[in-house]
Amino acid sequence: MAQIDTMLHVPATDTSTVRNNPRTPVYTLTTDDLDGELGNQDISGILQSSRDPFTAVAGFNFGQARFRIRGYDGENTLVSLNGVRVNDLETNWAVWSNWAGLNDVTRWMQVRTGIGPSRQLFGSIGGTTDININASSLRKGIRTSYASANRAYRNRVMVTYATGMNAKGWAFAFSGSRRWADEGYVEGTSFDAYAYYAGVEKRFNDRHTVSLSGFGAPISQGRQALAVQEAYDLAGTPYYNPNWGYQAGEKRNSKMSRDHKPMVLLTHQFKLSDAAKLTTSAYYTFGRDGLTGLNWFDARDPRPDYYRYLPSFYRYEDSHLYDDMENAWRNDVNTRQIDWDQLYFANGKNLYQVEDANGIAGNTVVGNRSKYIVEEVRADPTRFGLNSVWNKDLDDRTHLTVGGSYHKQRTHYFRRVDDLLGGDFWLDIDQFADRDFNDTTISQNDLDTPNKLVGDGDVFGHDYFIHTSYANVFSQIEKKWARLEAYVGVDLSQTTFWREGNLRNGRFPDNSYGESDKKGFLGFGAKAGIIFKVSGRHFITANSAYIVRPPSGNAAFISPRVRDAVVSGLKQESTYGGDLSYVLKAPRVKGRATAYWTRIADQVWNRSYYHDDFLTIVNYAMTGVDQVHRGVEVGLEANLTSTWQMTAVYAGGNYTYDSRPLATITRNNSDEIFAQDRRVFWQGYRVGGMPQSAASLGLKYSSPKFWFAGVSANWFANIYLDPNPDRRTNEALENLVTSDPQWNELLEQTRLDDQMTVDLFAGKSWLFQRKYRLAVNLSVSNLLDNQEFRVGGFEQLRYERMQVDKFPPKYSYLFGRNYFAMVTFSF
Amino acid sequence: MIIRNLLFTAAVAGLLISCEKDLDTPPVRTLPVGEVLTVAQLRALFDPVTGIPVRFGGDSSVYAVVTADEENGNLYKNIYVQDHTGAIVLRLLNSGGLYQGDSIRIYLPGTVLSSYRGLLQLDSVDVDNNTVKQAVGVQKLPQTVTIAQITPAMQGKLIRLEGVEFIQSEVGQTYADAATQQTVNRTLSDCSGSIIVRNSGYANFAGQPLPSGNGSFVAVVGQFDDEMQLFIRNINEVQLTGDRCDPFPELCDPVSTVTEDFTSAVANVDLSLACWINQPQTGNRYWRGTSVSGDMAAQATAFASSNASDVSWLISPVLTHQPGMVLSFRSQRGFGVAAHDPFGLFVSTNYNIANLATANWTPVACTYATPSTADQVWVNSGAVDLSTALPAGYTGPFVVGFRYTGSGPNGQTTNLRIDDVVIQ
Repeated sequence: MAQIDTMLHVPATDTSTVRNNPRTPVYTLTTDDLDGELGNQDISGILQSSRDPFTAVAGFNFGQARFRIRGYDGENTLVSLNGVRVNDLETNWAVWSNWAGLNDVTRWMQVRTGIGPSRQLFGSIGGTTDININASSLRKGIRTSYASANRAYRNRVMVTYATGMNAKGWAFAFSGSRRWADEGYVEGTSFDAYAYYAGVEKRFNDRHTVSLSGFGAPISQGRQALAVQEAYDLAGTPYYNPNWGYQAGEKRNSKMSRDHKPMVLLTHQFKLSDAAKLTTSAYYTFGRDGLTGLNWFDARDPRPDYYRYLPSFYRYEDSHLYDDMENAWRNDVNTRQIDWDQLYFANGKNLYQVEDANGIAGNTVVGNRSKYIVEEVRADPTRFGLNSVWNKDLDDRTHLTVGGSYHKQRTHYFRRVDDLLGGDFWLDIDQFADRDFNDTTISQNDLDTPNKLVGDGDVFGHDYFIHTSYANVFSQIEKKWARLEAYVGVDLSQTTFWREGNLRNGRFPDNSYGESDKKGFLGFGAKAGIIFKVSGRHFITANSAYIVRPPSGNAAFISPRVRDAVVSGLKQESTYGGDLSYVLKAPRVKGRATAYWTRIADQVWNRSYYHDDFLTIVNYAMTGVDQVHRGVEVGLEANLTSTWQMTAVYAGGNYTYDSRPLATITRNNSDEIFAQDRRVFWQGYRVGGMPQSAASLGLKYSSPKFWFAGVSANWFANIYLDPNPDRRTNEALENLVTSDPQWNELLEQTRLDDQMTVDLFAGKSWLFQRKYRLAVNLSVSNLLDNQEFRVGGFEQLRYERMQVDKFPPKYSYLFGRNYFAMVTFSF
Repeated sequence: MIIRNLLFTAAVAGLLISCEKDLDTPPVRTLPVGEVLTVAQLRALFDPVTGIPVRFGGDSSVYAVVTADEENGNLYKNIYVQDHTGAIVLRLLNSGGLYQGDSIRIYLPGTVLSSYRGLLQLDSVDVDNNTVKQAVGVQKLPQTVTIAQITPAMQGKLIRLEGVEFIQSEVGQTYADAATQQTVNRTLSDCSGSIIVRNSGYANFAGQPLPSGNGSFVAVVGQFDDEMQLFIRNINEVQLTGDRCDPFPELCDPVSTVTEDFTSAVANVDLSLACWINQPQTGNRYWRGTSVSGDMAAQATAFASSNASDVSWLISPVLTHQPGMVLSFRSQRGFGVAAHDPFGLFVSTNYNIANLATANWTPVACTYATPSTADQVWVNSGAVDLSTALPAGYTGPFVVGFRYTGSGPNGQTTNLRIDDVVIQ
């Protein structure tokens, strides 16, 4: 018998995925708050005057299932405040939580789906949402509300006061809210958020109006993490959350997001003539974006659902241990959740001696070295910009829009100690480098202060800036004829980004500190469309666009935490596509039917994770990722009687990857390249993370006595998990034949079950003394309490070729029956 | 009016403000000391005759110093500790947290004293729950012993050997297989006895070549059945730079021609030809004599080898290079495996036996039996010009190396034969 050593050297690490950039949102952020109220929202549709039934239903009923209109993610949908683009310059995503809780201010947004004419911006392939936050745009009066819910938060109070424009040309507006929950729908998720807004607007004369607005939303939230099905089964709930545990008898969540990014915006509206106006805005925004998490060194993985702590890890090896662990999972909360007391206990007696501490020769420090800490990973943006748009009616049939903008952003990425958990210090060296190299210099995270000891609040690990600057000019011309409207627009932009390191680390002493090369990319866009009026009730519209834009800065760097190298073969993404619609505007029936097709080509995809073949953390970067989004949208709203209204909506999408990207796999801790130009067979795989098809049927009764009630049934289908690229390579299939079970296990894409939900909403309002208005609104989502609806998740990037189910997918479930009830008092 | 409304707004907003709650620090928990045992007393609790594992329940503790940790990857979930009475290996439930020089109290409840293939160990040690550090930086000095003195009584101890060296056939090979992360046993000798040095493929020195000299060596003592083993705790404590007690054979003086038809070889016996060197680089396969239709030839193969990789060299006597010198030989495959091309031809000007793996070997292109050649067919090399692989105008000494590369476990087991080597 051969000698068996305890040499299974598998370092403790995240089994799933390490995002290079913590700011990339995992899900689209239409805030929980908004969907509670969207029913009241004025959503402008394809023809600005009419409300588009499809967009309204898709936004309100489908949002809970993570439906995305036409399958586009946040980087393809522009959001603007007073016409100023607020999508992050680096990630291209708009972060809705920056103004969450200011519903009274943001209620009057204009939403446009897809390509179209805009008199403020060039736009994007997915559409634009513009929110007017000028003080005079808020409804005059005081509005107070209290809402009770059982979603992310349980209570909300809000107060808003707007003066309207007075005789002297002044308008003031204020709004504030608090949303909170000791524990939200999911166990261990706390919520504590404030929001504030103040705006002042002065109309100097007929020509000049200036408004100044400022807002912010400090949010502290305990997050939920996704888990594997085994963990949900053992915990007995699809809302099991591994992020929390007991500390001295109180629940504590390890993943706290703490964000606060205030913004001030100054807008000048200049009426040049009756036919021309110039709108210019300047803004400044700054703040913090942080997410805490556990970190540990030379100790057992403290996360309760680490794959080695699940009973299944022992299924084939030790049935006795399997039973013990299953029993512990079911009955011991400290097995199922984080055992904080144990972390304190371990830290409090880990005596350790550091030689030459903090880079000072002969400085010997002895103390309890924390094995476990809570760290906070930060991505703090600072940004300013200037935006100007000139609008002119050339004649009564022709409108010209010309605009330009300049934006500059610096995002500060760093890591700081949030809590030493009872220890005396944390030693700032890299665990993986420490194991991989027989050299204590290489493992240093800060070569200029080797053996650095850090405590609560101190920066460690990584510390760098990503700078991005963006400038554009665009122009659009709209023309009307008797039966035809048409527009054409072009956009030209320049984007530059670079990295500036504040630490020199031991793995990359020569390219981790200081400024990197600046990467500049030209962008270009062109769009055109027509509306053909068949009659006053029937319209046909067509739009198309071609957009070339730079890769997003956060995907361009291979491993920005440790070095400044960019993915090789970096080039612009190009997006092109169009849609064709039939629009009906009859007295009792409104509707739209659209077919669309879009191709997004040459995207970059970049993740870091533990690779089981190379036995270390790798950076996996793909170039040449193409997607095709095609489908149909149908929305119909019929007034059956003066009180009964019916809506029917169908979205049939097909979103697939449409290329075979090339992957480069690099060791995270050195520039060693494990594989170059590995072909990923992604062609035909579905884009994951959303229902590709959905439908809804709704019925609403509106009483003349100021109350309404409605119900809708929603159906969701074709939900996939995004494919793990490395499982779809020749290398993964090596030595396998098609009849081996692993063949299909590796290749098959995870598809989630089709599901249904029923939603209910109702409201009533009263008017007293013709002045005081009291309104009550209730919305109940998932009325039938369907707790088997998996709305998303991900295939783990870590996988084992021969035993694919060792790292199964992680899922997220739709909340069961939940409600949002609100009382509003306004005068 | 505006003022009144503002005050109202501010009052409502004020209601929103609350305080963030602070988390409690958990109460301090301690591990009781209980009865104190020495390491020798602990070891004595195990009955080697019955072999029944001892599970600890009631409060009791052992004080000891960590002599070898997991830092360099050679040990994983294994820690060696020692006190003035003896030493023992701790098997950890989870890796990490104990370091060489830590003076610790081991709280025994939950741990198990057992024997694994002759090695007594304290198993199931949870670093967080079974150990408390008393001090750090306490260094135990290794006990200087000879190989002959390393007996089961020395289990777990930190020792130093003087005047030891790795055996000749292993010098130049690596400590372990870093590429496949395989653990490898090496042999350390003092010219009167030898002992196994067991090296993990995960050790951070796994890919380093074994040193060729003689000197001092610090390690901890393990055991596998009746075989004593050493584990290196720190590669810097392997100081083998002095003169060997078993010196490598010297290369013969350079000659001007070499002619070898292997008629003196014995079938299935490792070749031993005057002034030729027969030496494995990895694995333990040598070139052997073989009879091909009654004619003797040299053959190498990885057939039936359990080594992950076999690299075996047959190296010519030293020659003095003269302009126009050519090599001719013939080669043949047997039991050829498709796509397995085991053969390589090289020259070196600095080879000295001890430096097989690190000498400068320059490949020489030639005609030989490749995977596309049928089995049992001799392929004549023709006149191979060696000067192209040597520095221009070179007139110094050099050797010609015939290299075989194969792998039994991977089925790379082609037999490769050569014969009628003439260098002139």
